[in-house]
Amino acid sequence: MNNWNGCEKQMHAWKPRGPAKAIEIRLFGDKTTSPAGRGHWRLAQEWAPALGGCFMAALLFSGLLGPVFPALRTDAYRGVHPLEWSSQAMAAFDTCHWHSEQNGLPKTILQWTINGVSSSSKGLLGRFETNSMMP
Amino acid sequence: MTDGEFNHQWCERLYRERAAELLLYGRALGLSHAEAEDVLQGTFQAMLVLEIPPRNPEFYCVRSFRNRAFNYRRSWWRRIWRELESRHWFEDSGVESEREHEAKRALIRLPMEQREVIVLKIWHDYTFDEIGRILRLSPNTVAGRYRYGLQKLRIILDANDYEQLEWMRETDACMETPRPG
Repeated sequence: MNNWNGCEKQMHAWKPRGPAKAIEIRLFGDKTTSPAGRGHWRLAQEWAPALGGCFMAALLFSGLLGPVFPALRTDAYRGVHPLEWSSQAMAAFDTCHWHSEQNGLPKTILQWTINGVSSSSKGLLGRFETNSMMP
Repeated sequence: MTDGEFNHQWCERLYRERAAELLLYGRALGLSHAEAEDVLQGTFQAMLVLEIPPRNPEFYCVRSFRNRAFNYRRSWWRRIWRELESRHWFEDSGVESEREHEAKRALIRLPMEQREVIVLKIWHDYTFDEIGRILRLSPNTVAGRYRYGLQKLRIILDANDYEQLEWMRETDACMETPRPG
């Protein structure tokens, strides 16, 4: 190949695209991991479906029979209260607990007024009562 | 050492040394990258179960790969996919000039007979005699195909102006190589 010209040399430098690693593994086995590592991996592969099935069954029964996994339940008291105690705004939105009654947010109160003065004030009420009781 | 272990060893060595070049040869024969990988896997699977190793494993491998590539079933959707995936014959070097890029594209567009000979000569390091034996052709025919194909690529790589490229395109149109029956 000593008589190659520049063009051939230049082309020879183009590196052909190699095959996928998976083909070599399929043909000759995986040489990158140790036999011990392969053993653990194979064990995990064998047991993973069984463990997954057990977990799904437990999840299903927890829904039917009771709170086996209380942490997964959205209404679990233990999972919610730290948020409510740390934030008044959070407590205001959760009406199922007494915290919502203890917050500092303004309440809507309907009041009758006469000329901008509260009708429930003592003075007005007194005058009205005085007038109404006049003969 | 058993026959199986012995086969395993020489096959693995051959695979490590020649897999990329065989894939490139598959591309030159008109396969997509994925199809060439399938053929490569099939070739080596067949060689792994050989009772007696071939006298010249590399030569046997190329012949076997070529036969399998031609026998590979080519369905309609595979042809479509091949057209879409007609790039990336080579690893991306990152420092490729515009001319090199153009030359790679030109190599892909060469007639299959020329492409095949160029790949076997440049990347597989075969002589014209050896290529002739693989393709069952005379060395002179092989050399002619090689020179004609390389001339086109050389024009692109060494081109100072685009007049030569235009000439090449016109020649391509006039001298379309007939496909084998």
